[in-house]
Amino acid sequence: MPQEGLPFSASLASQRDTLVKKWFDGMVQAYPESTSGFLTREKDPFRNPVGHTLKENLSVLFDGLVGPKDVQSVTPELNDIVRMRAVQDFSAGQAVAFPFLLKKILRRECAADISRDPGAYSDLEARIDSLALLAFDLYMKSRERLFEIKYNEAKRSMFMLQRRQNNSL
Amino acid sequence: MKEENTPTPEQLVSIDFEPPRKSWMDPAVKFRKGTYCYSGVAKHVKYLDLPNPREWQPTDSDWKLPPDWKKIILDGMKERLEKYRSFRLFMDICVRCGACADKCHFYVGSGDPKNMPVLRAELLRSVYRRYFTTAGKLGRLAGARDLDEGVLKEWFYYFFQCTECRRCSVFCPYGIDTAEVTMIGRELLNLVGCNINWVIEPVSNCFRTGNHLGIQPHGFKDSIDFAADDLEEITGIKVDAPINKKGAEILFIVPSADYFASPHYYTLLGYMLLFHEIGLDYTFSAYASEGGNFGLFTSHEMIKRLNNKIYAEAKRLGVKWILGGECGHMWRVMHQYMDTMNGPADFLEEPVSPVTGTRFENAMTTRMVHICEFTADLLKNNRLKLDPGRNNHRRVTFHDSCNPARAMGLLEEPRYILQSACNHFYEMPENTIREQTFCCGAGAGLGTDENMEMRMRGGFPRANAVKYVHDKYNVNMLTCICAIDKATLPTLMDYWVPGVEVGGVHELLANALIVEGERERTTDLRGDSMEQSGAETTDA
Amino acid sequence: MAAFYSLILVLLLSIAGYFGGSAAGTFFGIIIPYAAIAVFLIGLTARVLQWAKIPVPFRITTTCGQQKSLPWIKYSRLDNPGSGLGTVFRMALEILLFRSLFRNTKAEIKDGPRLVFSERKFLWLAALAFHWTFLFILLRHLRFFLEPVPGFVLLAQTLDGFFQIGTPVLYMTDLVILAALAYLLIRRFSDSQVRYISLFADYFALFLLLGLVLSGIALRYFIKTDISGIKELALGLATFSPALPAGLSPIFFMHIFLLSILVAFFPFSKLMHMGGVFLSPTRNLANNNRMKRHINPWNHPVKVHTYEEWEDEFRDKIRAAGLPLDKA
Repeated sequence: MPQEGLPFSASLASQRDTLVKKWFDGMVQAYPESTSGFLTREKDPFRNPVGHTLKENLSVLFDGLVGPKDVQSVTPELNDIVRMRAVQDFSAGQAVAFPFLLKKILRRECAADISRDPGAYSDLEARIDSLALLAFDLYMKSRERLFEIKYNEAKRSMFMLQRRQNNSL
Repeated sequence: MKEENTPTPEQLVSIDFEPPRKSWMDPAVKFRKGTYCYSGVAKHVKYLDLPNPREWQPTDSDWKLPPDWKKIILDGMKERLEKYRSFRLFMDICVRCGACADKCHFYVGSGDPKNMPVLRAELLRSVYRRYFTTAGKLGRLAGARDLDEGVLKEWFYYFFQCTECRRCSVFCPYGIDTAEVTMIGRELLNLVGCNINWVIEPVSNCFRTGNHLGIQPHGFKDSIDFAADDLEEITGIKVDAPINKKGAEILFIVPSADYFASPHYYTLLGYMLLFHEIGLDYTFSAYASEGGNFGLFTSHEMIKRLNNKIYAEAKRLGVKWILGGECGHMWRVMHQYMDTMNGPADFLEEPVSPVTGTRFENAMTTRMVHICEFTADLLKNNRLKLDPGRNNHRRVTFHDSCNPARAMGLLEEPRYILQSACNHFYEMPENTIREQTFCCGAGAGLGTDENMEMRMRGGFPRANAVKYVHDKYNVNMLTCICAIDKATLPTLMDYWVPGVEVGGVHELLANALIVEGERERTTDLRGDSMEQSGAETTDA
Repeated sequence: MAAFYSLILVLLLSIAGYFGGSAAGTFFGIIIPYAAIAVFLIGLTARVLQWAKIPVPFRITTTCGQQKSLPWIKYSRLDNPGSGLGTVFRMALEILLFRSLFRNTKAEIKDGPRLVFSERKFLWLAALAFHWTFLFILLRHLRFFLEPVPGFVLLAQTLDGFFQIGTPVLYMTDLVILAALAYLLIRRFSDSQVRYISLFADYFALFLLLGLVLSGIALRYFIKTDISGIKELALGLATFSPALPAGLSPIFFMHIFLLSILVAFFPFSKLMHMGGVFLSPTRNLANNNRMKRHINPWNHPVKVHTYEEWEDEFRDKIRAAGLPLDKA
């Protein structure tokens, strides 16, 4: 519940758990129906690495967005999510669109806060946009990494062939 | 196709779309780049006398199936239902309790519901019901569906998206083994010429040259000689590595990647140094130059065709028994199939360690011993001098490879060796090791680069557990006893947990092994400095 | 939809039993039960024989623990048996305690401070509770078919009513089986994974069992049933001198009709897992593959690439590499 009198960021911080949960639920819905239940329910991080990675890191992203620090500070956590989505059944756009989902949730859940302090909200939107751009950079890096690792793997599989060739030169 | 159209901003933002509520019985497979393997190349299919060699790809709409393909598949099913109790039983008794659902690494990593083991099997079961059971005449209501090209394509997609790791079978109350279902499924697909090149080419190479990589005898010799030279450089000792030597006591079989690829190669150096130190009378074979057997990923017949050379060569060379190197699916074949298919091995002797005199009671009739059993016995009898400090730059964890774990139970032997040879050994979380180990995501012939996205998804549960010990204990080396692992785990680590290298158990053993007459080692077998890097100052 | 259809079907069957009994008592009370039992026995036997006839070409044990190898390594006798005796114990654990399903429950690391009861523990518990109480209830029912009633049946009855609650005494098993079935059914609806994989037959079996249990409960606790009449019929059926006593309640006909359907459905359905579990090759074989040779009765010959052929093909290269040749 939005609280009267609290500054915008503090009010958001007080609703952190609810908002992060909604964000998580929204992301999970993009997976097939029979899977979203599993991603939400299974608590063991090793049996459910996808759900766990989303849940753990979304909270950190949220804190990073609401908090005073630079958005860049959450790069490792953002990378954990994006790296995972880069190899799942998503188009590039779908893979990195999740920060925008938070905007939608905020507009719906925190309308009162927003109308009280529209300036603070548009600042936050700008931060969300930077997060999305950062996500896109990281997505591209992950995709490039996929090509690199293919190349490295091919090299390792021809290890002796290369050495023998070098030797005969 | 949909994903190639540019989505509108609305579509992109509103990712909370309703997922399809369709029944799983409507086949809908999209062959998207990165998630499937290329088809078997005609010349290899032809060389092996397999049916329907042709040019085709899974993305083609016309798969150029033989005109009577349906009959071929159904006849093939009938034959197998009468030959394999496992197949018939696993088609009949599943109660769909869902205990297996989230046990598959592909499901856990991708979320595709047809990767739940129960559904993977239902893809075949639905056709079984339709054509082989009374209730199936009722059609969909009875969970039965007609065999059509859509169903066949779905089989191809999902049966080549199962690494036959058998993890689900551990949790099934009836022991239903998806690997068995997938194996039969792939046999059926092979009957109409649907197979993947990353399996068929190695099989064809292996049939011809003796190994998956198609290395001919002189190439084999070169590699082994190279390894001997490398060892001399590192230790100052010239080791002897005989090939095709008649009358040797032991025939030593390794997967071909051990003498061709990295990081497998360092494990080969490890074996050779160990055998030198204990003065083992052994021989490699350039004919039986492959322990691995991609026949396992093709058909039971192909397992037997490729495996034949092992006993044949042991007999020709007149050895007493066979020793096998670090390889996963090779050991499923050696342990569960070889003796039945190509035995009895009455021309061999019961295996006894020439160093310790230990009789390997567990290998009395197959007469083939796993290198980890052999080495663990040497260590227990104090026949090896080790300096585990030489591995101090490695903070080690052990990945149980699927087949040694779930088709043998070889769990303690490699751990005993590692704990003797290393000072820093850490286990991954309990439900990701031993019989519950997560697959590398690239076994059963799926370790090809065009399938990279699927591999990264399937390997995610494994990588996630490695990341845990990497973060918590600074683990920087993932050891394993499987050639496919050694080929694909480095790639998995590169993507998910950079900073973790992959190595073999005997590589670390040989790093620590004090060899008589060696010069002081300045590097490990990889040529890496043994100095500890800065990250690892504290020890738990 | 599958759930809905199966519910409708079970309701129709219940109604048929309810009204059929008074309209055609002999048919519903005698002919159908006999027919159902015949289908059950013949079907079950045929199915098991069919499985048993199919060879087990390979010993494909799924090992779930340390193998028996070197004598100083402690091996896992129950999860990776190295001998026939160990396998008997493994199977006993599997069949009596659902060992593999229990394995499911071992998840220790939980996030958050809440104590999370794994949903899976309930699957194991409900499955175990259902199967054991079903057996217990079957045993109790023997009192209808046997005269004099054997001691173990009386004992089962006494134990079941141990708490002496109400008249007639409340059987614990009735509560437990109802709870277990309800859980298994709710799970099929509420767990999206399980809902996705569930077929008509899965719901049908559950609804049928629920109908059977509910009608039984109604007979015992809510309707004044003529027990002596039921016993007369049951004894008659058991001794092959069936006679239909007067005054049997329609609910009783419903009960016996649903039972007949269940019994006749059994051999054609997944309920055959009862027989199949004993035959599963990944569980009922010892992991002694390298100790004792397993024979495949149809071990067909295959085309191989012999050493001679190999040497012929690569002779020059073998010679050039300095490797020995059989035929120089």
